[in-house]
Amino acid sequence: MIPLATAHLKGPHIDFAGLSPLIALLGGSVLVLIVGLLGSRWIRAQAVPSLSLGALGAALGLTIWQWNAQKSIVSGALRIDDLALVLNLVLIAGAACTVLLAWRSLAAREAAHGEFHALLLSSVAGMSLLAAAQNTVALFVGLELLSIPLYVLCATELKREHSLESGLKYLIVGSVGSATLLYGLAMIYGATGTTDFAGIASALSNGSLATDPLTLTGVALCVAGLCFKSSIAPFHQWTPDVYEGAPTPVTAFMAVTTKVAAFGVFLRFFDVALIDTQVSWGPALAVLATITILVGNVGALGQSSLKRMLAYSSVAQAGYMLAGVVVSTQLGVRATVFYLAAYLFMNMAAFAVIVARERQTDLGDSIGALAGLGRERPLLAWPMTISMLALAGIPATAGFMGKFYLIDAAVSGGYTWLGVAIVVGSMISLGYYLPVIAAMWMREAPAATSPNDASVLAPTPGPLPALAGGSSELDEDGGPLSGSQPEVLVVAVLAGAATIFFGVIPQPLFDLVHGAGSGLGLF
Amino acid sequence: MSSVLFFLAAIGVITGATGVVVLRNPFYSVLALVIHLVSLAVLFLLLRAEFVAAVQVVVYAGAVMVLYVFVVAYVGGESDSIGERLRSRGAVGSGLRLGGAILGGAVCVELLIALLGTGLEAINGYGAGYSPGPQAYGTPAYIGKLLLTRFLLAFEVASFLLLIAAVGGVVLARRRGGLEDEDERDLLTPLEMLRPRGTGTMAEGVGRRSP
Amino acid sequence: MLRSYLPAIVFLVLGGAVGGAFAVLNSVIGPRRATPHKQDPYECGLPSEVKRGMRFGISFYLIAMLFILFDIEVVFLYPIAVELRAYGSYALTETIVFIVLLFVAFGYVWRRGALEWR
Repeated sequence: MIPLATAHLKGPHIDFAGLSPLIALLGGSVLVLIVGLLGSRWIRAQAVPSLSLGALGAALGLTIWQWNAQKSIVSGALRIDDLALVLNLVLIAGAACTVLLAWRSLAAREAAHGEFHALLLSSVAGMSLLAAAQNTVALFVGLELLSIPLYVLCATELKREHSLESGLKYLIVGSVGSATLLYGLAMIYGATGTTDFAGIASALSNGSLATDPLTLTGVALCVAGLCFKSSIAPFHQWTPDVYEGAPTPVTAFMAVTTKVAAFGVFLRFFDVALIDTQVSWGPALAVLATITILVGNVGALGQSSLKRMLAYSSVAQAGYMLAGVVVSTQLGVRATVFYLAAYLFMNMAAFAVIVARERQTDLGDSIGALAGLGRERPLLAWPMTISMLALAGIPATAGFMGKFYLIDAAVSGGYTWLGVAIVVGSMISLGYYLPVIAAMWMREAPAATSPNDASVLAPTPGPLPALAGGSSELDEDGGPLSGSQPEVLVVAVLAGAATIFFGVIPQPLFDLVHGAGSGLGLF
Repeated sequence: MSSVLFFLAAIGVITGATGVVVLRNPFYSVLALVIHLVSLAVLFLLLRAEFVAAVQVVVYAGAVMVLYVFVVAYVGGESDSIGERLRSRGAVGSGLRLGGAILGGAVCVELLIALLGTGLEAINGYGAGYSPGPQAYGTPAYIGKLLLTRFLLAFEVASFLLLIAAVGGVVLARRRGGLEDEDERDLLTPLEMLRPRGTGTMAEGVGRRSP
Repeated sequence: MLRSYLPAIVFLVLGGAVGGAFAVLNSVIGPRRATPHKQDPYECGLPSEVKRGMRFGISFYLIAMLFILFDIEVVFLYPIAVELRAYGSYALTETIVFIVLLFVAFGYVWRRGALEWR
């Protein structure tokens, strides 16, 4: 009768400590969803974002608690090592910035706050899973957990056509990318007979399997699938449209964190599982990286929409980071992770300024919205300036250190021409980063940016006005958002300051990424 | 017997897949897809993946196809099929179609090279050693064992993935008037749900909740 | 292996043959006297108002999608149920976690009113 008494098999050991950041994110997502259903409007608009910040904070604390761990957990599905933990930190920081940027956004209100933040948190959980996955099944589940919420998040400004178009485009292209990757993973499984990264590596290391057509086709399909996800040319065509159409906080999130997750997979899957086929995919990826750098930088020239320009710029940056993957050395891994962290700060600063200007003016994200910003609101102009300079790779910014590191890795890994491509790309990129700075500091502000402009944003730090009572509730419901937005300003200033800080004193970040490179067993 | 069945199913798979692309009426395309998926289930059966075959019929040929039919009915019928629209575009449309065909052919050739010109390591391994029994490779029991041990994490995360998919679907469907706008709807709190109707609450007074 | 599927194959062949035979026989030997009333979708009652270009409501789509999600959940539960005896309370715990998440999805969908027909 009682079937449980006859149990004779045991499940795998579950290391809850190692899983705890993931559990915090998933649990936070469920909690936020439920609170968003139950509460009054005030609770929905204020408590839900606070709760998701809390969940991110818990995940951050638990990640730091796990520091220096070196273990495979849940029967080898995940690898908790320095690489996974550092990427986790970057992901959580990016998500926290997004929560702040989206606090009073139209997108969060239209999709309902509970849903918006639940989708956001589960997407972060998927990325965290992806950064740690070391079997192909966990990898694919993580990828889907990353992608599906993002498809919906892109379309959350439900009444704006471009937002819906962006969601639909991302859904279709993303599904093609996922399917391609899945096909590739299936072929690699077919060739090696195992789904574990370590098993794949050992199967490829003996015999002629590393040059087997089935393996190589699988690898090629995996490269194509991941290139779709991380918008590497020639699989990048969706990027400008999707980035431009999506709500700006979501664009910021996508631009930063999907790159982190995709490069986490590149580093772990290609540099651990497929390392013996490096002679095949290394040159291919190097060529892709060069094409990406050129296409991204040339495409960004002459764009009048800031989000579109940053989309092309993110394509170019993905090309730079790919250089660190191509060489598959410890130095390359470190350089890529360093650049990912720098990329977080640079992009968040830029997107925070765009979010602020979108709410203050009715010019949207066109470059004209920044005109005269330097004199009017230096607190917004400086982060944007720093971000543009850093993205272009001007010394004394984190972007310069990151590029320097990447070029160092490329040259010492035997890909000198890739280093040259990075330098040439950076030179081209000045052609579209500098006009933004010029618009802020040299152009006059347009006569009337917005009727509310006079009352907007004297950057006085203070309590959130919504806490004072119902008045801001009314404010939120009508018209374009125009109240003061200290949280957006905080993101802009902090990200800008971090960009400068790690450009001048990069040592803490170097120390942080040092362990990430040593854990993978590369030279 | 197996080879007869294999060729029957293979013909069904290829005919179905061709039908999806070639047929102009989207409803017929969906029906062709059903043929394709059922034949695919037979192929899975021949590969001794019985559980996967059953799931293929239940989930894909059953549920997913119903969804496809609804989507086709929602997006609009045969009058403006995508094929027609592409055809009416003239040079761009035919260019796209030609490009798609060339790309598809190239992928097909590449995959054939990969599949035919390889050692197929897994088949030489344990894939070939098949012994019938309740615990054999591909049976529900075997898959259950894998889900509880090696792929435990994927199993639990899959449940979460489905939860998030439901959330996403509801968020997107709400826009089209399928559901009311959230701000107008003003959700009832659990307390309000417990309260008997017609007791003169404020919600009833302003007509938010009718007695 | 295939021998165990013989009854199923016989069943499929017989079912297809009988169904097909009726359809073919009907069109071959059945009388065909078309009147306008016979051509209507419904032979009796009011004429149908449905136009050719009519669109289905999104409710169909939403319900179908939710059905698929819960369908897949059940598909996952089936193999676990087969192995429940062997793993005992451990398997039960894992299944409960799985089902709790399923219930969260169900509760969410219910509270949001996605199951109400509009």
